[in-house]
Amino acid sequence: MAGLLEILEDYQGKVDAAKIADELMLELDDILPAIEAAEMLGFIKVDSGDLTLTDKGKKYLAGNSMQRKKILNQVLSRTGLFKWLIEQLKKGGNEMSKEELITLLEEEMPDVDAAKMVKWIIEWGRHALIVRYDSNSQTIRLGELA
Amino acid sequence: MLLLELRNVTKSFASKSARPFVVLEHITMAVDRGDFVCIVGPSGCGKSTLLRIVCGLIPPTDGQVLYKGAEVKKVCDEMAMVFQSFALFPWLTVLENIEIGLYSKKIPREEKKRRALKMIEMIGLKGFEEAYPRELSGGMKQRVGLARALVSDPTVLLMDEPFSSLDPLTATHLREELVDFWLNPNVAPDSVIMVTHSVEEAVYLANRVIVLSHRPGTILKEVPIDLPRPRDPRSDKLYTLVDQITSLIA
Amino acid sequence: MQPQAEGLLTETLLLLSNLSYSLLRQFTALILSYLFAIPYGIVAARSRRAESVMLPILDILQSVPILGFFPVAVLFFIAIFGGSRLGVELAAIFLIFTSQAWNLAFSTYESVSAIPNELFDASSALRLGRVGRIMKLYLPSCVPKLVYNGMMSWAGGWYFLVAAEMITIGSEEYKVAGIGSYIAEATYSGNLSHALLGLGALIFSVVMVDLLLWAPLRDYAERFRYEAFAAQEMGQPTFYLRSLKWLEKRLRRPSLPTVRLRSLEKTKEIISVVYTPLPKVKAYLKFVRILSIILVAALVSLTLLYQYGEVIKSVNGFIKSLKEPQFLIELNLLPQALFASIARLGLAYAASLAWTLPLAAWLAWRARAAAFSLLGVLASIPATALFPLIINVTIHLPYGLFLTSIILTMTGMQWYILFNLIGGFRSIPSDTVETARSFGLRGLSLWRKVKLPSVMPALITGSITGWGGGWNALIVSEYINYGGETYTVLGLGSMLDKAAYELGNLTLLLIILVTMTSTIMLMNRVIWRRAYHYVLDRYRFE
Repeated sequence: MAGLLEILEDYQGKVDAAKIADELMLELDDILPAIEAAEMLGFIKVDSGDLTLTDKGKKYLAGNSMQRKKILNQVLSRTGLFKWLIEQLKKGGNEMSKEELITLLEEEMPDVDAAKMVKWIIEWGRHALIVRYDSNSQTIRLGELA
Repeated sequence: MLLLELRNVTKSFASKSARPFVVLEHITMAVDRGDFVCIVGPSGCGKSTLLRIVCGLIPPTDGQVLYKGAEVKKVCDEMAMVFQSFALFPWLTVLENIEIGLYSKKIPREEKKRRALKMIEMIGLKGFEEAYPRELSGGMKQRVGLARALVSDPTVLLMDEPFSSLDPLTATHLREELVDFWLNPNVAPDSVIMVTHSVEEAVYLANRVIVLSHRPGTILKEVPIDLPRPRDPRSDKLYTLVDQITSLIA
Repeated sequence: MQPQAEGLLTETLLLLSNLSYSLLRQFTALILSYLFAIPYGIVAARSRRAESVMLPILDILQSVPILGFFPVAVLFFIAIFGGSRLGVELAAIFLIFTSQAWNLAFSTYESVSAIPNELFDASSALRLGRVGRIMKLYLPSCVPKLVYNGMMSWAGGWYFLVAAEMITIGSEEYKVAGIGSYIAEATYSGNLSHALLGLGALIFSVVMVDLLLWAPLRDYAERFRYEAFAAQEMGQPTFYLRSLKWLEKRLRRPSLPTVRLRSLEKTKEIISVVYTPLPKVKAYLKFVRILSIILVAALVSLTLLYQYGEVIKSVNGFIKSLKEPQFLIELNLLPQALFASIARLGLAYAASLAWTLPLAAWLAWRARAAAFSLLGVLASIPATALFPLIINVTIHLPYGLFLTSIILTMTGMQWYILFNLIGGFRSIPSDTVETARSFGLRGLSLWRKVKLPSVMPALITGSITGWGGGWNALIVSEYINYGGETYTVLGLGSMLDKAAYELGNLTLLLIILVTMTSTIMLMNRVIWRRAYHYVLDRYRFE
């Protein structure tokens, strides 16, 4: 996703999505996940095929790796999903097993693929330093900046 | 004294037929502090072999490789290498994989850990210290590879097609990060030698591009790249150079 | 103490001591197997020249039916060590060793060969050195295969140990005390309750070792899996991990597995501090190494010299055995016996498939982790331990002997087939089945077009090992000692046992062994390997 933002910056902050795909010799579908992630985090605005870099996005790009993580952390901790997750973790002694999380998610959001969602949570949670994950014991713990 | 010198290096392998299999011939080149050299050429021209000879992994059949004036007889401990397929140890965590970059250094354990953690923060892998390679995306894996190479503070960084296993978007991003590292005097190695099959990448990154011929690989030309940094990957000057070099290879 | 209680106490002590002897033999053999297999496999994997010699040797060794080895081994070790007690002990341990070492060596070889080239380059570039490479690259890469094959080898070892212990109760001088002989003696003397007690003790120790040794090792081995394998769902944590977690919650203690591993870290640190060789120590070690080689060479030559007298004796015996009348009579029966054994194996194979195939298909997706643990335990119970009880029942039925031999042979084949099939069914990606279903394939056609072809590779691997197990089983199923009488059916197995225990004809024994081995190798090459490659080409999942 950061690569997408950097390309946008090269184009002075606004460009057609299809153009980026062409330049990278990819299909539009291939860069869609990055676009969706960037939009969800508020770093870009999508308007009929055009992508625009927001101020938030510019701030993200300007930071070094630690600053970027802090921004990510701020943005994600405010979302309902992660707020709920942090609460649950704190209730259970700051940790829970992957299985427990899957079960909890299945109860809270029955029409969602819980296993896939947990994978996503672990990945982005780690990026944003909200959670830590030990794959040997399959335990999720509170991260540094939670 | 030049940092690295290759004098008339030839490499051939014994083959089943009477004639040996010559991969590289009469390679003479030099790399000095501050050089970012990219080696390009058609596939099979021996680029990767050349890199391994520089590192000391493979001995040359003929000719000499001199590092800081002395002949390279075994793997040089002031060089570090990044691999195309990342070459991470699947059973070690990110932290452990980076720590192993300091394996041959006589430093206490705590210090190794401290340096590895610092490297993790610099390379943007914070939060993934305990993750295993199988949990990482391609881009993150190569970051670990890069961190492992840089943690030992090498004088020469060798890179073997480091971005060709990554998708274009991630590759773009990592290239930018590499440039950032290169321009940061605190962390940058003294010189970088990179092998790549992408001429665009070579012109964007290097201050000198060495073009190899078909097998047996010899140096066709050395092209200095004088573009000021930060470089615009879409500038005309860049494209001209790319065309120039591509026509040499064809 | 009352005589009854006293009798019970002695009986229990007897049982426990027999069990410990068996366990001791098992552990010794396992350690020796690992000590052999790991260096052998690493060398074979890293040197092309070594590979071309070492692998064919392994191939041949693997094809020799292990129980056929046993009489030869007994005679060999007794010849060297004079006193028959030590000789038989070593023969028993050697027997278990041969059931494990070749397999483990192959596993090491496969694991090290599978290491990607760039990882070798990276190890050299990181200046790992020879020791570093072994510790950080070779050994870790072998852990998954060595653990899983170790488990299977352990179970296999029980099978052969018990068989060996049972075989020898017939002869006074070759008797060994062990759980197998305990159960056999109890059954044949009509003491069924004691036999069942012995069986129970055996099962208990199997479960305990699994829980205390193999389950933690399995969990530990998970992190060593390559990406290719781990790409599939990591699966639910094992029964062991789950029960630990349950225990933790109850006791509110920090994670037990991590505590265990932390102490492992500490021990590693201590060891590395104590054993880092100083330059003086290094030179000293070299001297020690040379000295030990000289010592071993001296020992071997001394033994040979001492046995020179024995060797002369056995050469005379060899010539004598050729002249025995029985020799030629037996030899004539060889072709018929061979065909009879193959036919028996075929029947047992078909019977095994008949129940394992449907069960595997049913179990593969539906069963939970606990069911697999249970199955694992069931399979680890050496079938040979059940022989006395099975024979007790089946020998009295109509066609009793025929039935008995088939059933006993099946026990040596079915578990290999079952587990390979389960593995095969589980590895069918669920989307393939769903896609097929969405195209309207159901029931029989689903089976024919999708499920059956997908498990073919696993079926063939299972069949290869199954038949290997079957050949071994023949040796104990075609020649049965029961209630003081000997029952035999025509076959290579019974011929072998007859040659070893009735005629004492070593030459005949060796000829039969060679016949068996060559048949097995031939079948492997001509039938199984071809089938395997054919199936792999057509039905691979990428």
